[in-house]
Amino acid sequence: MLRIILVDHVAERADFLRQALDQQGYQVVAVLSSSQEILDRVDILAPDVILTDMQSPDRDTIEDVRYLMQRRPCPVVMYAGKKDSESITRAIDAGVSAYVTDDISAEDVKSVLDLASARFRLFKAMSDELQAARQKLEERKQFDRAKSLLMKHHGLDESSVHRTLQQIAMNQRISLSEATNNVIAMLAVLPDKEPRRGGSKS
Amino acid sequence: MTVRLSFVPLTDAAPLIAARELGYFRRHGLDVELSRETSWASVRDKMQTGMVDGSLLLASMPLSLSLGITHGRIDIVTGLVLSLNGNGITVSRTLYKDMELTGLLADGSPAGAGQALKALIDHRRALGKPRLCFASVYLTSTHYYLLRYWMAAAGINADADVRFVVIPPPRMAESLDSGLIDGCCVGEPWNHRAVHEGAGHIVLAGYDVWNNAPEKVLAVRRDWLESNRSTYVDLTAALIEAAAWIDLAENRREVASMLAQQHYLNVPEDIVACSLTGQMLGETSTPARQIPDFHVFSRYTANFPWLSHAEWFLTQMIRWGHLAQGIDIRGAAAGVYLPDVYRQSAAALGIAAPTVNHKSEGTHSLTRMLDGVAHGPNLFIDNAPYDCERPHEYLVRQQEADRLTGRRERIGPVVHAMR
Repeated sequence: MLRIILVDHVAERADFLRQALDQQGYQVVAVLSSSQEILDRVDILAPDVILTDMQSPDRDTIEDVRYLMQRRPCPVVMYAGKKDSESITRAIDAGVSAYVTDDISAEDVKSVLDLASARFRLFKAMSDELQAARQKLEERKQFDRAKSLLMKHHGLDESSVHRTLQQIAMNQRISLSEATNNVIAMLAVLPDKEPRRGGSKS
Repeated sequence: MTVRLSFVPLTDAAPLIAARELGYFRRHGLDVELSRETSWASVRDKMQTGMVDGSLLLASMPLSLSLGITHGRIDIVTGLVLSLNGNGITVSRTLYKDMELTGLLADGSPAGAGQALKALIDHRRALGKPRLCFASVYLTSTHYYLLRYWMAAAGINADADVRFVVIPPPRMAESLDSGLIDGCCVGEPWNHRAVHEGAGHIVLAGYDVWNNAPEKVLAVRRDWLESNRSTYVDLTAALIEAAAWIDLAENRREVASMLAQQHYLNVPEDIVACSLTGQMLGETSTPARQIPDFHVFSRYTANFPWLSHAEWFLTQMIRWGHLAQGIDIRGAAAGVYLPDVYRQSAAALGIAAPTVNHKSEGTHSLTRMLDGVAHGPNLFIDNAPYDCERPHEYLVRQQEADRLTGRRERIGPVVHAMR
């Protein structure tokens, strides 16, 4: 059952939405209407979705709390009145968020929230995958750089490089990635000189 | 052609508002609609969805949005800076009284405020009191970076001893009054609004943390810029002219009157006029502090998007963990701040533009002339210079100092107990 926090300072609208959400089987764990309440309660309440008005001045506070949340962040779904229908259409087209208008039916609320959650989960998975791929690429680049520096300054061959870095990492109890960065930091500032011939130092 | 621009109600929206009210947009053949927003998130949405063609953004935001710090990446650029300074650091009356009791505020110097805060924080920590809470207007705001810089320069380990939150500008006064926050960094007129309501005391101007720091820029989506080059040039020409007009001291009262209107800032004119006329109000009994450069809209090459400014923001984003260490500072800055685009706008107006894209910051305390153009005072509160040729070294030095501050704070209480 999705846990929802509603952030709205307009009592009538908040009531309407709360009833519609209740009807559809969602659990509205809180209705917040002030900066104080948002700061004190959002993280602790651990919502699955935060629902708020597109025009709310609290959006920046909500986003900051989300960014800092101990648990994984949740989607923020926004709603707006009919007069903002152009905003809503464009936002949906741009994939910004799912929007609910204030004259929507309870059933539509459910389908919008389901869509928002599914889309957000997909986005999060893709985002995590991209982050992991970037990280790997960066580590690969750093490794190649360390390799060429070690070969240049210590005359190591390819297979020795990996062994050397692993040894450094083990001895200093740091990750391979950190050892690679340290080696680069050290060797990168050395002046250019003749590469050592193999055998003078192992 | 109709151009839609958004802004958040702040005194430094003045160039946009004046350009509209005084007919500068019209004179350049533009029909401009201004859209007032209630949050930076809303401004961002409208930029992303094309509901607006451009907006007034915090100088750090085109960088944080392009790099996707709190949100998916949006390809936003800027070729025009619209204001320098304009912020204040305001604390609650309770915190101010406690700071006064340290005895370190007596000389009224900017440095005293940091010393007083540090002494107070150390005292509170020793007594086991809860952390102080300071607000800015957005996670990656210029305000947040000024607050962090100020506190770090004062030797405060803010990561451990201060809680940072985001509060919308119009709510700062009530938040100080209720005790929700102990202090904040926010743009005008919201500092003087707090003073007027008896909710707070301005201890420092943003100007004191870094003289003549960039504050607001005109941001547009890159694809809009590329499809609307000549409209963009007309738009920025109008804004450059408006900025020059409002920068003059003799016009500031009229600017205040324009901004005070209900559909713009909706704040009483005499509150808006304080900072615009270069005054920072203190207690009712004491004379206002004069800061002629409280708001700079045009002089000191204010409109030029210096790459060194963008790079400085990036060093601070890395410093406080908003960006990863290994990011290409130079490359990222040059992708977002576009000095050549500014040069095109300047050429259309027949005005000069700097011939270089970088300058070192924090290197002089007085106005000086460079290539026939006045550059205003430019010092950081700790007098540390920023060498524009070495952003990475600058960052590493600060991180080392931050680490030492953290260690000293942890060791402190142990040493005390040993005595």
